[in-house]
Amino acid sequence: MITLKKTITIKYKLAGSIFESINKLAYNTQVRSLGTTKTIVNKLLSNPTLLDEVLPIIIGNNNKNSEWEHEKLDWVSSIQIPISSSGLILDLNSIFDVGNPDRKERIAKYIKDYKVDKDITEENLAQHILKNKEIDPTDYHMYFRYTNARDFLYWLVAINSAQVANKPEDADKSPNIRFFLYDEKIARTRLLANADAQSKAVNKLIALRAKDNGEDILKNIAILQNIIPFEDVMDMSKEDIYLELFSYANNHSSDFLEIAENKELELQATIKKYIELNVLSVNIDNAIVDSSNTEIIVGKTMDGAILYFKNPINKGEVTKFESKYKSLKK
Amino acid sequence: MREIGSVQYDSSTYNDENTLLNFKLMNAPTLNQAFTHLWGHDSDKFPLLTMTEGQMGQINKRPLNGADTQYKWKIIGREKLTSPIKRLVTTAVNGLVGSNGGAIIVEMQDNWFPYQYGAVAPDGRSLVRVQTEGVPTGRGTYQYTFVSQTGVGIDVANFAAGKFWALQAPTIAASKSDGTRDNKSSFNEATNQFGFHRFSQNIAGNISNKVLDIEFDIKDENGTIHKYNKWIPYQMKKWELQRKQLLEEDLWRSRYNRDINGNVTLKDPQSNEPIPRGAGVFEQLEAAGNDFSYSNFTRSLLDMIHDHVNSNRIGDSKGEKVLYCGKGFAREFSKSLERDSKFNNYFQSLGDKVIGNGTDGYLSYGAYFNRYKLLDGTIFTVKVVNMFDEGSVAELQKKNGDTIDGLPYDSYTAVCLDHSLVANDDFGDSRNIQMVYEQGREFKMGIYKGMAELPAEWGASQGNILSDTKDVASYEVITSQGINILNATTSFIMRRA
Repeated sequence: MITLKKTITIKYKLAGSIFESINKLAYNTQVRSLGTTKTIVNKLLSNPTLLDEVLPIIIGNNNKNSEWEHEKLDWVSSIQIPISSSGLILDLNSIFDVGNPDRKERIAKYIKDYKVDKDITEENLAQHILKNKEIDPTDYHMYFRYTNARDFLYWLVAINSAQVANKPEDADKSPNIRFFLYDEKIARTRLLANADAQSKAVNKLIALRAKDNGEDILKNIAILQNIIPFEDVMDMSKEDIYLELFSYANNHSSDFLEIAENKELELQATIKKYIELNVLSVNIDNAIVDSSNTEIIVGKTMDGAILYFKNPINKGEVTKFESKYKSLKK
Repeated sequence: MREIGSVQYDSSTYNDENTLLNFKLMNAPTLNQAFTHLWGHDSDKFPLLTMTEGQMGQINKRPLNGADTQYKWKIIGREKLTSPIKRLVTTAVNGLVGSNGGAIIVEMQDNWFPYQYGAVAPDGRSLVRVQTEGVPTGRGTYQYTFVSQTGVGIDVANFAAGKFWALQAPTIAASKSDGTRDNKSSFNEATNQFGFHRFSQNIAGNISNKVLDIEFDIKDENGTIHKYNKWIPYQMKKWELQRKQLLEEDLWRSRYNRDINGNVTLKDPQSNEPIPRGAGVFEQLEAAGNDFSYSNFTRSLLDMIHDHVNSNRIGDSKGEKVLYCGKGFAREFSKSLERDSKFNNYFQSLGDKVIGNGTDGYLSYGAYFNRYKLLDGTIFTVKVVNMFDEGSVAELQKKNGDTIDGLPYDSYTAVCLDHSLVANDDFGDSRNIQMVYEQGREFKMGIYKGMAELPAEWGASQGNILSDTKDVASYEVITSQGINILNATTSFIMRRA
């Protein structure tokens, strides 16, 4: 028998709207309510064992009476989860016991169905079930005994709700999202990963700056990622460009690393510059075309345009674009 | 010379009815002189606008004359007695802290607990004394030293991050005690704004004098029916109804559109002037945290929402509360109470009401719940308003197939609005819900006259001064409006999801 420790917090999105934000102090809303949806309720009710096994623990009913079906519908439909301003911590600790009389048959069937090594440890078997995408969380009760049954059902409501983002960074993806799940362990791991990426990005920036053609490389990155408007970048001092990129590398570390390590950076930046000065243009289908003759497609995508520029057959055209760009740049 | 009609020929052998129909000398007979309204007559789709009408209106109108469209009002919130834990600094022993009067060092998220005061733990039982003032930590939190008032250890679960502790009375020794401090709380200000709307009706030529071979019945403000056979009065009525419907829906759905710096980003592309939008009823209730989603309506749900909104409120006004809703919610409301009655074994009394005597030995079936009385005396009454069934959102949901049991999702929306009188207002007693508008511009009408004949219904003299050389004219309306709920925490909205 092992105990799996897990807590997760449901938090509500601060300043869901500007109106809410400017009136935050006035309204001082302390609690928001997460309700159910038809989809969630149907999902919980249609599970053949979930509520029959878990709900009796919460409402103290042995599910043997004639009103049980009404009780189930009434309880699930009436769920309103109060989320306070500091969040609601759900206790998702569970006990996994392969010898538990209520669950051993199900666990044995799982081992058989998924051809799990019979000598697997309890710890690894538990993780196998939790990581198995074919096992829906609404079926976890078949293998695990959740020490806080109500929090387990609340968690199921939260992960199935369109109003709840599963990760804090997804909270702003839709105005319909009012809450998000916050897992301190995941948040810490992510913070560490971000810190790693940040230091890598800044180190990369410093290394690029030190190169002989460092200024050009930084300009190219600034142009390609739209960090600085094209019309400004040409007139900015190299220190100012560096400072802008330093802030970008800190805030968008992985994006910065991706572009800084791109082997075609220079050529991509050249194409972007040509587009900015209308030597090339982007047509209605998003293809890159010759502005003087839009019938000539340079590339349907940026990758296509790079191949076009590198192909010796197009050397004449490429030289023509270059001289046109130079004349316009003056 | 010009040809105004052409001679028609018919090659049929016999002169019969078909010949006459072909020459348009006969028409198909009209079955019914009255119109058949496929989707019903124009109906009560304007609950908020209607409530402003009449001397006993449940919504006051409040003219505003400020620098721009923003307005503010003062608010006093709930007395704050709680403070949330950030983290426990002291290490727990056997799941307990503070055993034998040991110091408990904690970080709180604010500085609300003064020195010497007591505090009660989330378990509602363990009491501590605050032994020091909160010391700022540099992380925006405050570090305190607590000591258990009984010397018994306190369960570490009470110190989980985010758990609220509550302030208790200060305790001192019999002599040599020192004074403490108090917490200060003041009022706040809430902000909203109103917006402007513009409607135009354009005519050309002599349309205002054209007589139709159809007679319209149009009811005036006093309910008297007038008969018209001109096009414009009918068209004006349709135009006014649509204008009213759009303005009504705007009062509910409008969203505040200043950014965090107070700038309006929505601009008229021609003049570059900002277009202000205020928060409507929905957004105000959402900001107050009083919007709830539900799947199947239940009696317990209404109890729970009522408690969420009203429990812990001092001076709660009991009495009758109206749930404005669509037909879907009314149906769910009745069904939920029926289910509950059956669950409580009230079969017989329910059956006696539902199954009644019809005529000639037949039975009738059907009686529905529309009122529910709570333990605290509050009575909820359901009132169906057509806006949720026939408004623009209901219409688009029907067309997009977003329906449940044949009714659009919007039909299952219920809103409880608190129309109570708010005393001691600067302007005397006023209603909790107010309609605001710019002074002098609640409704402004004007005519742009070209050569076209003006219809009498526009209420302007014909005159011979023109603003346009073309054979056109237009009827222009500018309105300003916004809806404001002084205390949005006493109203709520339930939406089916």
